[in-house]
Amino acid sequence: MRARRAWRLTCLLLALVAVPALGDRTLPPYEPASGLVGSLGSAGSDTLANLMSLWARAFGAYHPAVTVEVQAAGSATAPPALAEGTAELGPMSRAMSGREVDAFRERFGYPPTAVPVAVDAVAVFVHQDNPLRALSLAELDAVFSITRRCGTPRRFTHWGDLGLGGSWRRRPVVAYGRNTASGTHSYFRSEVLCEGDFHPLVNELPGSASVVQAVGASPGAIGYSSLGYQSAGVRPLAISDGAGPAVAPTAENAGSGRYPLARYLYTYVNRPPGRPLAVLEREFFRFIYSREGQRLVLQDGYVPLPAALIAEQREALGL
Amino acid sequence: MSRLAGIRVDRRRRWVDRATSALVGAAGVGVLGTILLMLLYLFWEVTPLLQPAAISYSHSEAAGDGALLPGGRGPDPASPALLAGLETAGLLARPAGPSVRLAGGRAVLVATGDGELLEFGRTSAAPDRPWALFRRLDSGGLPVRWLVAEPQRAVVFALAADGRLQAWHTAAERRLFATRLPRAAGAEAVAVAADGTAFAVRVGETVHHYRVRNPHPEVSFTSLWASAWHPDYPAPARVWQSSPAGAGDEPKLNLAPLALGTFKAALYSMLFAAPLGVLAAVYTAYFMARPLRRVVKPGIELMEAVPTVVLGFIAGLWLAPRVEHALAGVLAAPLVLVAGVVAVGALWSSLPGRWRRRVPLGYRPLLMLPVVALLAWASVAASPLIETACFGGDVSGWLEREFGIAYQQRNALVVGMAMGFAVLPTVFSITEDAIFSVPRGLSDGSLALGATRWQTLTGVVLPTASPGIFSALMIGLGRAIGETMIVLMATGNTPILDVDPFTGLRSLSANIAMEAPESIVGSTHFRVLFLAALLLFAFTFVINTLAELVRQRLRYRYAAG
Amino acid sequence: MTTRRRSVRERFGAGLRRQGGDALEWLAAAAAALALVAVLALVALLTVRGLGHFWPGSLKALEVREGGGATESLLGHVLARRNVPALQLREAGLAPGPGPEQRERLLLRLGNRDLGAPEFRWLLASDIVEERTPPAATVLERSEWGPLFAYPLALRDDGTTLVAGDGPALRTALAEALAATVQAREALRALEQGPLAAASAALARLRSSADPRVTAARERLAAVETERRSLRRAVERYTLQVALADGQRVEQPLATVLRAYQPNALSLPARLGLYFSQLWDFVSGAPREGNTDGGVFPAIFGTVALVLLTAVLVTPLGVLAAVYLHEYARQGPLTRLVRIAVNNLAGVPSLVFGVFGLGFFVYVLGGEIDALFFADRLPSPTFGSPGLLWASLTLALLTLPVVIVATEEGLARIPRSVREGSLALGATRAETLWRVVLPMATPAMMTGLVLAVARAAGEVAPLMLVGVVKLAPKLPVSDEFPYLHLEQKFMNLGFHIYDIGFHSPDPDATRSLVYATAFLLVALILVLNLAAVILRNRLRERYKSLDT
Repeated sequence: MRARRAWRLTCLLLALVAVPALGDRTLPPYEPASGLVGSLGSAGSDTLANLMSLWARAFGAYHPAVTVEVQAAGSATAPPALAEGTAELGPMSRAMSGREVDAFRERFGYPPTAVPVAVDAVAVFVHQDNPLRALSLAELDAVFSITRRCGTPRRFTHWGDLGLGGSWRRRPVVAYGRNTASGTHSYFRSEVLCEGDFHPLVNELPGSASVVQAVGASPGAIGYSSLGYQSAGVRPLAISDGAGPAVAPTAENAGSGRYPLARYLYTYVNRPPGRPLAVLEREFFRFIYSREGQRLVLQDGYVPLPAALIAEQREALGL
Repeated sequence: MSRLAGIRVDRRRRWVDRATSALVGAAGVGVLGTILLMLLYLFWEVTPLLQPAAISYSHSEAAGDGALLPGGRGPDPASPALLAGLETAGLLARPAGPSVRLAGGRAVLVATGDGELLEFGRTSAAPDRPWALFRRLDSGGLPVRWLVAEPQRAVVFALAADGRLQAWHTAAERRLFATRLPRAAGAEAVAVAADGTAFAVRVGETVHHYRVRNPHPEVSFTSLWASAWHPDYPAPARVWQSSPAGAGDEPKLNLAPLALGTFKAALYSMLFAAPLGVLAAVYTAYFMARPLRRVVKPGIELMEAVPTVVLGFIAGLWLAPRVEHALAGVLAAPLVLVAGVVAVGALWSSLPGRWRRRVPLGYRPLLMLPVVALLAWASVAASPLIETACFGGDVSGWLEREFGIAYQQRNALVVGMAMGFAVLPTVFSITEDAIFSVPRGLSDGSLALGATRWQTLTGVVLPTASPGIFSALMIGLGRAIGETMIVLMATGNTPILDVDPFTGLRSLSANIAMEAPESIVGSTHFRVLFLAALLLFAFTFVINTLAELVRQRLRYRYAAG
Repeated sequence: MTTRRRSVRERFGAGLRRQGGDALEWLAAAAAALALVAVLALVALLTVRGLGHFWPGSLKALEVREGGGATESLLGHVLARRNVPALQLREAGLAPGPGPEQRERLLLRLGNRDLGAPEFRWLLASDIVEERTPPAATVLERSEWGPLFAYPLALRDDGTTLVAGDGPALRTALAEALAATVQAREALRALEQGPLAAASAALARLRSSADPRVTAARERLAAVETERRSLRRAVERYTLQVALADGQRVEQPLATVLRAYQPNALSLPARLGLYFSQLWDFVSGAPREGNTDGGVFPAIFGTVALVLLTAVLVTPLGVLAAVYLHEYARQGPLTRLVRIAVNNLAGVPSLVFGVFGLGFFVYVLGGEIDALFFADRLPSPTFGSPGLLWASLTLALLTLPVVIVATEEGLARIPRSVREGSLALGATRAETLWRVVLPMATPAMMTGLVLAVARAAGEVAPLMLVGVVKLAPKLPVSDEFPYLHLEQKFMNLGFHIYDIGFHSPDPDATRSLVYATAFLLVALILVLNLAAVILRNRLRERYKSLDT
């Protein structure tokens, strides 16, 4: 009973925090430059896909002679697309790996530029009727991984292993996650599995929405995906990093960095050192870092960037 | 004048005739060329995997103060404590020679005095025994003096004091090359470039450089099909993990789980489609009234056109949760259906004749339509009752207790139902054609000789039509093997090695669809995906050709007999 | 004695066989029935869910008390009902109280996504204290943040209240204001896509050179911008003041409102009208909000363009190959090889075509074309990346066997005498082919073509590799040279289903949208297939008379 009230309180808090956009007022409104023509291609993260298409649409409305094409098969598609020149923007839901940066550098002689565009929390979802409220990173590793590099002595296969009683004690844990193309997959792997391998029994679904749907349709399920995909039938767990108390995945906690699985979402661009961005890319980032651009972040269920970081980035990109 | 014009017209006509012949011939050859081109292109992308690695002398220079190779990797031996620990654990019996750390220190390769290379690695099998012997590589008695490993791949160079060099990929258990390296005798230091394209040896005050061409060392029969022990794994396994996890890890590209998954999906879909399709076709072709058949046959055939993406999403998002919810009912459904249909049939046969004559033999499906729908619904609706009566109130718990299967919502059963639906029209249509084209005279003769309808069917009609039925099943199987969207959407894409109906699977085709857009052109992963495509091509090629051959042979037999 | 026993056994055995045969006949009949049931169930599921998506359901005002707390007022649509075991609820910490084993749970869509509370919510039916359908409850469909469910209070024009109260006066005024806003919005859009885009493009062309015309172009652009600002003001003129279910008052600008209606007060004809207008919006509109709302027109257009291009590519080769097989080739090993090739091509998984298309067409052919003709744009590829041309070529390969087989069947139905007659009259083989055989085989070719088109329209897996995208801002056909943009990526209905089913950021909101899209696709393909069947039957009828 108490747990339930506490839960409703967190829900309420979440709602309250999410509405008045963090730092919304402090950002300058977007003033479109006139007379832009051309096309921008974006290839990469499917976590960022909808945000990208929201931005693309809004940007297109300001600049009718500019087209923005959005392709979203997964973060891993961004580095090759940037390197091959198939796209100008490479949205990624994780930072590029060393190998990917190397491959790019081999081609151009300089690394790609990472531009953070939003904050996201990777949430671990369970069915709405699951009594579990919180998990630690080590417990997650014991559920999701085969290598258990974070050091849990055995694999957790039943909800009883995670401390649930009653009919839940003998109920198997069915784990859901994303496929390898997804940045959420790699992020979860490096943060939660200590760079280990997923257990082969972890379902790899081709979309974040399908993870949430699968969890919502099956009481014994657990799955990870971006917090922005939350639906009515699932509940995000509070996560503790082992040392501190469990932290609920709210916008506030993600923005402040208290939630252990919060991360920046990036858009990579090909920018030769010492030279300004191409006109269209520059204008696109000006839009993203404006009040309108960051409001779309909120609309898509993510957390807008802290204002200080935006100021810093505007400086760095020469906007 | 008019004759001249006539000649000109004749010449033009002849020219058009010839051009048409050429055009038509080119089109015919073009079709053949297209399929050859496809095959050749797929091969062309795969063959680099089979190219042997090679090393060749590049140049020499005076030794400087810095590293042998800028950014390269020199010897990186295991700590003596670790080696001692391995000896006390009884894993390492003989005195150890040179050693090298692999996979970020999660594994170590040790050369023994008698020329064996032993790989030990960390394992998560039991907390009290963190290390295990992963594999032995037989170097053929090479007295190893130096061991160096590439930082990103499990490629190890073993150099003897006399200049003999072997390169191994440890996880693939593949000897890349064994050669005598010129000018390398008595080496005092060695190094390998981070990307594995260069090797350097210092002898005295000179450094000799060598070029290494070794683009795909991690592919071997072992790594593609056999089980291997990977660092931190509890046991040797056949693993598909196409993206590397950490810095020292390599992608694990074992095709066995994918191939098995492909066949598993095809098997379960045929389990649904084959009996249903063949029986339905037998009835439609042999018993059904003509007017009804004219509606039913195209009706079922039209379903072949339903896009599989639609079936996939219905299977994944609508069917899978419902099957999980009413699992007991779904499992009981075949039994309920068969028993119910037989009972209703018997009941009908015992009705007075004037009732029975209302529905002649050819219209029985119309009678069965509500019966079947009702039985299926009843079976699912009675699921809680069945669950309490037969499975102790909890089917998935029962499955786990009895068979050790953890029920996965996206499983082979669901895929079987959805893909069975996709394959059913193919099986039905070809089987129906085969039975329908059996000459009427044959069955009439059999009936005239006093055989019953069913005897005629099983004794005369079915054997005659069997080549067609066989080819229908084969073509259905081929379709099930290549199907992508249903498997992609309705399974959890779990690369596991079992054939349980209640666990998921990952098929070759779904795997390609998920991973091909992200893989880097020319990388090992890219080529292995092409190999997977080639395998799919080969599977279906074999199955289609087999169907064709058997059909021709059986046709010949029955034509003769 | 023994003979009698044997005869009994035989009779029994014969009876059993007869009974068994009888049972098997029933089973075979049941199998046919089951196949039909499965087909009908699928069609019914798609139709009910797909077409049900557009039905304006009633808005329910609910008083809810969860777990003995305070009552809440909610306003929303009931989307789904599920039965949940009471034990599961009890263990989840909910208090279902004593009662039956299964409890009903409702999924509500509460709208108002921008106002804080979750848009979708599951509720126990037992927690509902009171349920009403207030006639004043209004749905405001918006172009962003999903719908707003509320009670209208007043309409304002730039801050001054025009009409207050929720009577018919407000409804009329709201309709007028909405119409004005829509008109202004259309004008704005036309301005942006017409004069503004043109002015921008003109300026961009000039900017590189220090042209004296630059100032003129600048002025032109500035004039258009001024007009755009005034239009924008007209769009943003009206706001509607509404009260939410819990009494909170909110100002909703009409600029983002697409449609307003009161579902509980609608008469049946009005409801039907609304239904069809929503259906039309779905078919003719563009997707909104990351494909979670709006229509599917670009996907339909992309599919049609792809399929037509495929048909154009596959028909000549397919028909000529069939002619080769049936009319020209001597029946030798080569012909048999071609036949085996065609047979096998039909059996090759569609995904393998996709892999071939990606590797060979896109990377090899496309790369070569770029190096030869578009070298100035490298390293950004023109044809070296997936696009419409490569997708349609891939599908052309995929559908080649369909066209060949259908055409050959048609050719086989033409009586020999017709060809012999033509040749005997002195016509060449080519003339016989072009003037006699092919015209007679036209229906067969059409059948093959329609079947190929139907197959191509339903394929998704190969397209995922060779050029389909979740959002393409431009249609592949435009009024810009060269009008048909073969290198462009495109949207596709089948892929759209995959995308909104599996990648939607709001799975609850797209739940029924997927069914609607799937229904559309299946309907399209079934119509095409039916057309093929009818064509084929016509063909058979026609040559029946020739045979006799």
